[in-house]
Amino acid sequence: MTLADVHLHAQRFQSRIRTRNTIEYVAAAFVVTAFSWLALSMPEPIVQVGAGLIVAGALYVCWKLYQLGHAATRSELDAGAQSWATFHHGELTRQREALRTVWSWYIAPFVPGMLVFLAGVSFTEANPAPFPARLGVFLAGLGIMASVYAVIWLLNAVAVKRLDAEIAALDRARQ
Amino acid sequence: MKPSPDQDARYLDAAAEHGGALQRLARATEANAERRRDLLQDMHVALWRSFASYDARCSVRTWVYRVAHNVAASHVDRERRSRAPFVPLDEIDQMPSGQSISYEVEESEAVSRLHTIIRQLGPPERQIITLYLEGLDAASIADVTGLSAGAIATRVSRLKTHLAHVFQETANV
Repeated sequence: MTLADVHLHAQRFQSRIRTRNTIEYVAAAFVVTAFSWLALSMPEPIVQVGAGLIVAGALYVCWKLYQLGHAATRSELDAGAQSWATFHHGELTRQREALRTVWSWYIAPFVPGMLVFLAGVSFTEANPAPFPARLGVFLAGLGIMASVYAVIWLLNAVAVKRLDAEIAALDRARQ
Repeated sequence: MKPSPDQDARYLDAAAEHGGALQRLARATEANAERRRDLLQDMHVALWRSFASYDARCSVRTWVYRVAHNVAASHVDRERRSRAPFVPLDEIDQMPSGQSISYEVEESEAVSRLHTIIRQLGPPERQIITLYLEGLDAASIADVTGLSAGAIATRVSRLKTHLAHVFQETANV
């Protein structure tokens, strides 16, 4: 590779990171805009509160994604200063922590808003359906939410277990 | 990131001196030609980027090998889900032998088979054997990998015995 090629590929690398960040921010902006509009346009205060909480959750997740992405980029830049074992251990630990704590930074921030929003939509006085039907809608929504979160938790738990085994094997090799 | 003259000069020197080693590492890491080319590009870009923060705490050679092996490790980590799992050293099967028509072809086949065997190894054996084949001694390999020189000497001995056994058996077929 010529030096010009290396400069070009380094710029493309930065562009890829910018594009990835832009996609995440656009997705967050969509959620924030949609639920802000709901918060402002819905007459029910409880629905407004739920939508506001979802907006706050989306902004928090966005900030955490930025932090994680920044840490990954920083780690790559430090690659030459670290031995393979130190670098690899750091990468595995970083991935493991991101997955292990996914509940607290990716799922939990949306739970209050989703619950309040779902309750508001289900039990609004504007809904003419009888109470059992409204309760059914609420419970069905709750079930779908719980199922999605359970699948995310399960997939992450499996991945954490695999990473634990790799970290343990690396620790043994370093002794 | 704005390139500095020092960064460019260090990269050019390092690429001229160790470019062949990066190619061999890419070949020992990735079997697919297109992904291997991408991996080699990633190594060069990471190397150039890394020289922005080179502080001479270790030799340029150690720095280059660390960057290259760390990029290779990240590549393997990303690709692993769609690839065959690692094989423990004791369980690597003898690779099939092609019919040789000349010494050059035999040598090329041997190198190819060697890379195939290395690609099947998990960490840290793959890192150790590729550095050993580049001619680094146990202390230098320890600098790059962060493992103890004793552990490396033991593993190199086991890997050499295993590779000699595999190639001897193939030669007798």
